[in-house]
Formats: sequence, structure tokens, C-alpha cells
Amino acid sequence: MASVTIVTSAFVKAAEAHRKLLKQPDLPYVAVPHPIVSMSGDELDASADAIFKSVLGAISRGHQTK
Amino acid sequence: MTRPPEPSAAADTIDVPNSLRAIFDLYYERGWTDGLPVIPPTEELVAQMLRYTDRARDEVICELPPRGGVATAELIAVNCVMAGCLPEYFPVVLTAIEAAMEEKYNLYGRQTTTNPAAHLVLINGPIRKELDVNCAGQCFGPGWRANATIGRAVRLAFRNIGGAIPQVTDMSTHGMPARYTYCIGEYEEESPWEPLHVEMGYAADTSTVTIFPGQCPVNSFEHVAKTPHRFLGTVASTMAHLGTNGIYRPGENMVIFAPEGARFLSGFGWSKKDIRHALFEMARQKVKDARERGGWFHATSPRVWIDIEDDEATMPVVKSPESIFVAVAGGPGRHNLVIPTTGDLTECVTRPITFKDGTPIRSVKDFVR
Repeated sequence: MASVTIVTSAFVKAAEAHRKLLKQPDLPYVAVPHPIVSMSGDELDASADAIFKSVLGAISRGHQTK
Repeated sequence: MTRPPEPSAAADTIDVPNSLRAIFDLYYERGWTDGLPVIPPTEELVAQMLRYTDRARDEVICELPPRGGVATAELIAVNCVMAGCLPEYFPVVLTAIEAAMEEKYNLYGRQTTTNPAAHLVLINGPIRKELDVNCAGQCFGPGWRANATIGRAVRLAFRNIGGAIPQVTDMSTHGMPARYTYCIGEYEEESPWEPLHVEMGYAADTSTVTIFPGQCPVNSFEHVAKTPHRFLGTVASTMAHLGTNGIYRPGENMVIFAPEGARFLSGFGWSKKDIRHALFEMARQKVKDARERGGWFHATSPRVWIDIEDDEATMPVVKSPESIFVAVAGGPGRHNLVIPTTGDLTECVTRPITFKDGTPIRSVKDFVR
């Protein structure tokens, strides 16, 4: 199943490390600005909207490669 | 000299200058240490370590997350040598690592979380005396080789084999001093109650390892209280402070009573079960105080039975009375310790120290007879 991991910008380094550790250099992830934990609902919606196309693109690419 | 773990299952050998400083510099630069000096894991020292197991040198014990690094007996032995362990400690480290691999411990989460939790290794049974594990004064502090190096070996294995690298995959916001080492024994001889491993169903003369996903201990001193309720109220307050994960994601807690406190409670006829129930009732926060702070967005998930619209309703910091583990350790003084966890994301595991066939050992010397 195609999937995409969403991380905050503070965890990009960890996401890159996991690509190497899991030996999946193309494992898709999309980053949002850090932090999100203190966001209001509206701010979180805006953050999600901002990456929607990137997430869709990553999932589509995943489907294409399967 | 054997090389510490990479993802490959077998240790390689490397040549390094015959200088302790050069060796330590090399190990540090390659990211194989916790920052403190290590003992070079020569082939001879690793072989000595492996005498204290009936596992084959290349036997795969487990695959450690997040890397999925293959932990063979040999690679675990390499990390034991580096940590400064005596060979006799090897069965304890091996058992602790196997315990951490039980699914409910959620080692992947523990290795990568932002939480500061560490891995407390609590030893029960006769092996405590055989290995001179400190159960008394300063048991969490420096000065005892077993406590210092067993906990350190577990950490080094998790780092070097598992790939939990600070600021890279180990994303703990602050870390904790307990991440260097975290190992004690229960002071069974000074406890008025059955020890932890007996509560878990093991024979008193079986040696066990409990791996508990604890943060650093929080002190709870009580020099004045004259009743068990008053005494435990102090402990409960320490358990339930705002900011502890358990309010919002109730999991497990461990409470370490010093012998004086244990005898005080026992003197009133209180059992461990009584203590657990009392603490479950008292270690709580009111909804009105917990609301809109901390981890409030988790507040309803596991506990639909709490009316979060009711200001006066109370939220316990553990799942149940049985989620409070009571042990006795420490020296003179009426200090007690509370060890919180990440909450409901992990559970502690107790395992007997055994031969490969599952038979409990009676002594670490069983391996070399």
C-alpha cells in the first residue's frame, strides 16, 4: 500500500536517517513547519492544506512504483 | 580488536594504534560510545564474556530497532566489554535485551521518542549478591561496577546495534542522566514484603531481570507523616504532578521505598496490594486542573469512564492499581522514589535469567562448570 510519512521540520534529519536504516532511500515523507503540537485547529488545518499537494504527489508516485 | 556493531551480524576486526587515547578517539569519532571512555573489545575479552552463556557466538538473539540491527551474542558481548562489564554480568545484559524485545515494551518507540525515558534494569533473586549489585545506599548513584556497567552495556547495545543515535534517530528532547546507566537490585533482605519477581510468579530463588521504561527517579521525602494515608499522600502527590505523562496517558509507575518507609507501612499491616490501591486512589489530578494543558488532547482516549466535563472528576496517573510496581531499595533515611514512564505507550517486562532451553540458572557459574 502506498503511504507517505508526515514529519515536522525538526524531524527531517530523523526521517533521512530512517531512510538509510530501513534501506529505503526513496521512502516518501513530507515535512511541515515545527512545531504543530501547540497549534489551534485552524492553524493545523492550514498546515495540512499547505502540504496536501505534496502528500498526494508522494502517494501517487508510490502507486506508480508498485 | 573486534569492531562494534554495524548492521552486519558478525563483528569485524580493525587495527588501531596501540594507544588507549587513540582507540578512544577513534571509537568516539565513529559514534560508538556514550561519550565516556570504553574498554577496547579485544578478541580475548569478548571470548571471556561469551564463556558466560550457552548461546553460540553467532546466534541471533534479536533485531534491535530502529535500525533492525542483528544482535548476535557476540555483538552484545562486544558492547558489554566496552561498557566495562565483568564477564559474569553477561547473562543479565542478555536477558535485559531479550526482555526489551517483547512487543509490549515497544522498544522502537522507546528508542526514538522525544520523551526522556530510559531503561531501568531491576535485578531480583540470588544473582544480586553473586554479582554484588548494589541494592542499598546510593544504588542509583556511582560506585558499584555491576550497577554502572550492566545498565551502560544495555544502552550501548541499543545505540550501537539498534542505531538509536542522539539527535539523529534518538529524538529525546533532553535525554536524561539515566541514559548513561540505570540499574539496581531490589533490597529483598530489607523488604517486609515479597520481592517484585515473586509477585510476578517466579520462585524466590530464581534470578530475574525487569526492564522498566522509566524516566529518572523523582524524590519524595517524608519525615513527618504518622499514618500510611498521610505518608502515601506525599508519594501520590509526587506521582501526579502536572506535566507527568500519566495524567493524560495513564500507564505504569514504579515506587521505590527505602527500607525505613517500607517498614513503616508494613508496621501498620499494609501489604504491597494495599499500597497500590491507595496510590491508585490518591495519585490523581482533577479534571479542572488538568484541562487545556499538558497532554489534554489525549485525555479521553483510554478512559471513557472519566467525565471530562465534570471539573471535580479525577484522573489517575496509572491504568490500574496493578500498574504500580512497588519495590524496596536504598539506604537509611525516609526518602522514597517515584519512577514515571511515558504512559500507556509501553509496559515493563520481567524475565528469568535462564539457559537457552529456558531453565533458570542457579548461578552464573553454571555456564562455566
